Amino acid sequence: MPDESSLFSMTNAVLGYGKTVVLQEVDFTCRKADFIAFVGANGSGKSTFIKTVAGLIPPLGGELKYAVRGERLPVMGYVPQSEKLDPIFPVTAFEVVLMGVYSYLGAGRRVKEEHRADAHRALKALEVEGLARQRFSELSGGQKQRVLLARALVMEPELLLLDEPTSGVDAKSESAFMEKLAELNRTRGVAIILASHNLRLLKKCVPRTAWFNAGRVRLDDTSTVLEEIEREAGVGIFI
Amino acid sequence: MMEFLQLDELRAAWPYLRHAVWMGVIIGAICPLVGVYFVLRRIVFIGVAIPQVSAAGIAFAFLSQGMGWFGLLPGASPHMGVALTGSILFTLAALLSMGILLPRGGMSEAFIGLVFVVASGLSLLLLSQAPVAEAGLLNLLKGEIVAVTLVDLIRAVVFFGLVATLLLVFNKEFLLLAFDRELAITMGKSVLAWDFFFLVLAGVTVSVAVFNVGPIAGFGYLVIPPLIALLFSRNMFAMFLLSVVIGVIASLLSFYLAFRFDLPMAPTSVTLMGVAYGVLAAGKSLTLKIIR
Repeated sequence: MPDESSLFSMTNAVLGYGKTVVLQEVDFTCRKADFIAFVGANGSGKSTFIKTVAGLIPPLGGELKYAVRGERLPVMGYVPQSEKLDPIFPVTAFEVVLMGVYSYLGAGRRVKEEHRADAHRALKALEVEGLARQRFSELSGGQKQRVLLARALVMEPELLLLDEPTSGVDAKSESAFMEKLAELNRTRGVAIILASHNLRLLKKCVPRTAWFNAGRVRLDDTSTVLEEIEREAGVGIFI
Repeated sequence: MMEFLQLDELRAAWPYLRHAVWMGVIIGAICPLVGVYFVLRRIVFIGVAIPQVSAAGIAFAFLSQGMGWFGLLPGASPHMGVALTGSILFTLAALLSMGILLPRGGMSEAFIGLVFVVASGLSLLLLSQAPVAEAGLLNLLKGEIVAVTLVDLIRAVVFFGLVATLLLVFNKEFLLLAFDRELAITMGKSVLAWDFFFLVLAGVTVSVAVFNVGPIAGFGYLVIPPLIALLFSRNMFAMFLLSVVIGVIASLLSFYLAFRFDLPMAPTSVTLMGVAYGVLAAGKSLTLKIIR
């Protein structure tokens, strides 16, 4: 059973899709207010790990245990890559954020004014309130990510799972987005797990990093992990 | 002008036609509500195939009655309740098998195409063997909705009223599932149960629509109003509202055109909506080019 401060823990876990094993012998614990980046090559298992924790795919073996408080599991906010959401939907940014409310509204329960106010507050916190009435599919990559983060915040999560959220986003927006995440982690104590390829930015904002390499996961201080990656690559990629 | 419009003739025929007109309006209003999800989830092909399956179910029901299968009285005149039951059972079986089989293989379009063409052939094959398949049955499959009784209309009002209420009450669940299935799972929603519920609701709606207006119009009202609405909608409320308004207007207008020019009802409504979609899509595209 995970201890009081942890949100979930994996012990000797085997992760993958169907019969394909992607990661094995994974021992990992995420605690309250952790801010952990996942780095590694494409196909190294970052998304598999995040999807497993989010409950989208089951672990193939070992143990994955969530901390249970009272009778409920930790509230998880999941932020996918925005390109995964079909642009055919004529939903506004506000309607997208409002979907976060559905996590604590029972089936068939109506959305009330207080829920709308929650959604507006989340948009305001992410500085995208002005986009509320715009069609989601017409927003820029950076704006979409902020809206999706606002949606996750409405759920009042204890843990945020972000799967390459800034993929396809320009450098300036990416930097601003990372700073926002760091601020949320600092001020609200939300634990954050983030898969990213931008190693320079991680060094600046994220205290701990997990390196996904050759089917294993190694978690350490960000600077230590990045130095190790640098050594392995044989070039100074973070200078 | 009045002579050309034949409004006096329409007024004289109104007492005989009014139930059929209201039936068209109800189907024009409710089918697009379900069809919005077919269009947005990109499962329009299923929307094409399912009305054909429903029609095959109706044909099978009549054949069963004619042959005296399942304890039905052989040779009895076609019973509408039997036809509706056949339609609903075939539709639900097809939707559920699609729901189970489609995610497991990579041949979804081929499978849906197969269902469509087999169901179309099967309808005609069953009809050719049904002893009680008369002109009335063929008219039903073609979608002639003139012979609608008050009882039919009341049944449709109650049924479609229930469908509309369920769609309204569970709108947020259906939208979440359609837009971001992964989020729904992380929220702990039972996505398979919601999918099943939606498929049952959609299947029964299509069955009842096909039973009343035939497969051509059933598919037309399911898909074309939402497609037109999608051209102009900036949010989901507008999408639903516009779809319903377009469905109702198309139903009234096509009924009038069918009456005035003595045309078959279902092909008239589908052609009318198709032309409207073409003109509006081209107009929108042209306008956007001029603005840019």
